[in-house]
Amino acid sequence: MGSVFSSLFSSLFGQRERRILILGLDGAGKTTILYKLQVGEVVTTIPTIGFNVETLTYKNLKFQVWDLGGQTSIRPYWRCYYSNTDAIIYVVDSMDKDRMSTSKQELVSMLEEEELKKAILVVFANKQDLDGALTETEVAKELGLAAIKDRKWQIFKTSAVKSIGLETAMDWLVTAVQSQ
Amino acid sequence: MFKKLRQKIENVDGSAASPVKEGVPSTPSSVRRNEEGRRGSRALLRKSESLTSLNGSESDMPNESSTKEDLSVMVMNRTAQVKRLEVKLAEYGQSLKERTRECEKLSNALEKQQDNALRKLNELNETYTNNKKRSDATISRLEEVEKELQSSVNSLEEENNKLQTRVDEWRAKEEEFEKQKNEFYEKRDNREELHDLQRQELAKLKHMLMNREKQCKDVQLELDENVANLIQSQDQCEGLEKQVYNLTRSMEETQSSLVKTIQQRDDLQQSFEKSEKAAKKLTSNNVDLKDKLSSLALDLQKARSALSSVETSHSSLSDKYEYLKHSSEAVLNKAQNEAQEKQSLIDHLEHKLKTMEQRSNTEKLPEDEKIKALLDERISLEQKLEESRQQLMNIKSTWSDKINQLETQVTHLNHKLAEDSEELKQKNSELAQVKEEMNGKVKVLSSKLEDLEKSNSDLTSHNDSILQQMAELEATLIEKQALHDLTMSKAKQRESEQMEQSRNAEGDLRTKIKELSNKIKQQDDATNRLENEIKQLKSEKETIISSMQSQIEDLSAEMDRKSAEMASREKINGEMALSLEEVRRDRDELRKVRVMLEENAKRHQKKLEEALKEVESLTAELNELKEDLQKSESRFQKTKSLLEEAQVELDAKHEGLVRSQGASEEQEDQLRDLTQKLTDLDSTLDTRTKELMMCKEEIASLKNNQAEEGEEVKMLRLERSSLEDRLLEKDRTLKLHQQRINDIKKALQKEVNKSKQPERSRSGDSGQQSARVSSSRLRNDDTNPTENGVSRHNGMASVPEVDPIPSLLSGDMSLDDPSLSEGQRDIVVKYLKHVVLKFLSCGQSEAQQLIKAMSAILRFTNDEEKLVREVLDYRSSWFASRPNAKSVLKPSFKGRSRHQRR
Repeated sequence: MGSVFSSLFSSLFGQRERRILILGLDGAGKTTILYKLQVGEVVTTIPTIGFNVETLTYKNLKFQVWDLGGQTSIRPYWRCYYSNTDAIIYVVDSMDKDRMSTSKQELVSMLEEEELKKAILVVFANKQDLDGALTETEVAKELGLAAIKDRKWQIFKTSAVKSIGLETAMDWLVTAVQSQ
Repeated sequence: MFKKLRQKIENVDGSAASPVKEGVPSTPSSVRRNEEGRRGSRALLRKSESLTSLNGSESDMPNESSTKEDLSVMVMNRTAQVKRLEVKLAEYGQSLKERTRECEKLSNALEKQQDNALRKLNELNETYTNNKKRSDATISRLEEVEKELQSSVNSLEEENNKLQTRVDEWRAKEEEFEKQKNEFYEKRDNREELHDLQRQELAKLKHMLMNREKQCKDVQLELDENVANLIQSQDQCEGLEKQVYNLTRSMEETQSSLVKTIQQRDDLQQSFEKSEKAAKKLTSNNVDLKDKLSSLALDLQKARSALSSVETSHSSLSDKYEYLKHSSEAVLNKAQNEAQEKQSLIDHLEHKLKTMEQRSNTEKLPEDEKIKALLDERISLEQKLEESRQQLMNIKSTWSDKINQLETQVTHLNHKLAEDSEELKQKNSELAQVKEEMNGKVKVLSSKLEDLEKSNSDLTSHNDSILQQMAELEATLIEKQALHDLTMSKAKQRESEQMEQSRNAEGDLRTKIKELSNKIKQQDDATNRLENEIKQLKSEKETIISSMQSQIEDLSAEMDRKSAEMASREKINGEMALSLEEVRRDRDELRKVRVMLEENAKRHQKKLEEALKEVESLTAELNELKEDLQKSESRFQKTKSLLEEAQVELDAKHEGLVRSQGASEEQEDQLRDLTQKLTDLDSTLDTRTKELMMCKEEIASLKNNQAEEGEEVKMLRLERSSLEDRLLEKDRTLKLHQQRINDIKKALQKEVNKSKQPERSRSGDSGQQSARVSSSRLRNDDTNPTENGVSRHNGMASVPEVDPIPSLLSGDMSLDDPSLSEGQRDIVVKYLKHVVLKFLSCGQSEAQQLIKAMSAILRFTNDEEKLVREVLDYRSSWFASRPNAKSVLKPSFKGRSRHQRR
């Protein structure tokens, strides 16, 4: 009863909860980023078979953040979560040069979806704390981001473990969502 | 509002009901008490009734004579009675209450008693059960005891049986004992009778004893007398004993003396034995010493023999000569002794002559005296004869010794002669060996000379061939000179140098060969000389051998003579005994023989000395020859080494020549290569010049055309770039098409799978899937490439390449997809579980999102998905009506599929 009231009130009077999906290949660091954003701590994770949902407030904006498991066999179910999505955080493992093409393929096929036409894209070139990681420009080149024309997008170099670039990325995202 | 009303009504009802309920006894015990109370009250009522009946009977009495006053009085009475009765009733009520209290107390007590009884019962039961257990245990024990007792009873019965048997035995024994007892009694009776008889007989015997005692007394008297006699005799005995004692003492003394003597004897015997042992030891020592002496003598003899053998073996003929000299001296001494003996014999004979003369003188004397003188002479002659015999015997012995010595000497000489002959033979053989060796060496040298000559000839032939080759080379060189002037001059110089070198080498070789031939000739001369020397030595040796043989023959002849002389001497000895004259002759002969022997000895000595000298000279010559041989050998080796060196030099020169040849060949090859290269270069130069010419022409022509062609080239380049761009674009579009085709294939496969399931095919695919398929089909139908390209450019310019990991984003996956592998299915099941758990646990906003995911995994139909959504809405909202699930989910017992029902 109470939850229903709160949802009603929030929908009527408070600001709307923004839906964000964190996507990316398995082992890119999606769950780590989610909990780093929510709790501010680096947690030890296991491969996500399923998803994690957390709500977090950032600069008076409420986000319902969905971290979907990125394993090959459960990647097809991403599409089930696309509806009413405001922004996509696409996480890329900057060290994984071999699967960069796979990552690109998944990104492209995802962006083709009708339900995500209005979604903002933020790419996280993650794991920048490791030596030999590709830079953000290299990652952008690998993913062919330059070709995205009809969408608001941005790429950031991040490291969830060393908390590099997450704040700036979230600041950009907040401003982008508010201006939408 | 209504509720309040209801509550009120309920409260009213409750209040109305509650007193009713309160009135009802809550417990059965209280009910019981009430009943008891009622019973008690009834009993009282009966009593009261009976009272009232009494009162009634009293009141009835005036009733018969009733008036109104009476009636009022009656009423008054009755009221008073009633009052009384009421008082009584109250009293009864009080008593009733008391009774009820008592009853309650009693009932409580009863209950307590009952409880106690029950407890006691329980206790008793417990004790009973305990007792029962104990009794059971005791019964079991008792049974065990019974068994034990039965076993003991059995054993006791067995013992009883045994005892009965024993009792029987005892009874039998008792019977026997009784029988014996009867017999014993009978025997006692008999004994008593016998006692009586014995007493009678005892009395008789007493009488007899009295008589005997009397006799005994008499006898004792006689005995006393005898005892006195005995004492006397004992005294005598003692005297005798003393005597005996004295005698025994003397005996002991003599015995001790005897023992002493025996001891002395033993001592003597021991000493005798000891002396005997000593004597034996001495004799044994003597024997040992004798043995040692004999062994020493043997050793001495052995040493002597060894010495002599050593001396004889090692000594040369000079030692043998000394032996002979000694023997001759001995013979001389013997001869001198014999002469002395003979002189003494002569003296004897003269003495005899004198005696004969005396005899002749005595013949003139009277006969008696003659006889006496003759007798004296005879005696003296006999004495002399004996003396002469003894001397002869001595002489015989000495002669025999000497003969033996001579014989030994002869044997020694024979041995030495044999040894000499052996040595000669050895020397001859050595000489022959030396000769053979020399001949062999000569042969080897001659063969080597021949070889050298052959090598010389080979070398000369080689030289000739080299010269020929050189000439050939020269010819070739000349030819080459004609062809190549610059190289020719150098080659000529080298060739001339080589020629000079070869000629010098040839000259050197020839001079060396000549030297070698000279050396060989010298060696030949030396060998001839050596052969001559060897021949000379041979002849000398032969002469020496012949002289030695003659000497040996002489010695053997002398030996024969000596043996003959020995025989004659023996004969002379025999004759010596017979007559003096023969002795004299013998002496003369012996003297002669001595002279002869001396002469022979001297000869022997001389010959031996000569032979020694000869041997020494021969050995010296042999040494000289050996030295000569060694020298010639050394020379030969030197010449050999020289020859080898020359050969080595020749080989080296040969190699040098070969090398020079090889170098010339290499130079030739180089020359050929150079000429070839030159020709090649010339040809290349020609071709280059031609090409250059062609290029120049082309350049000229191009210069002409350049202005015209510049524009065309630019155009072509532009075209090319544009074409390349188009190609790239087409490639991209092709790849895109391929991807899409793959997507469509997957979708088709899924559709096919679905069509296999008739129910679902009928209900139709989910809206998403059908929409996607249609869209993909639409896209596939888009055959216009330009439009597609434009759209691509609008969306994503760079087309992703086909990934090795198949992207499943394009297609939808469900749990019952047959294309899934086992591992993938596991993951999907896990995923579903997670999603369902989240769906059931999370808030509404999340749940709304999860319906899609669930429906995708579980392949919900549209209706099913809708139902889930409606249910979710109904749960979250207040006023929504409950959706009818039966339209979607049908109960299974109706036997109809849910799709038919819709």
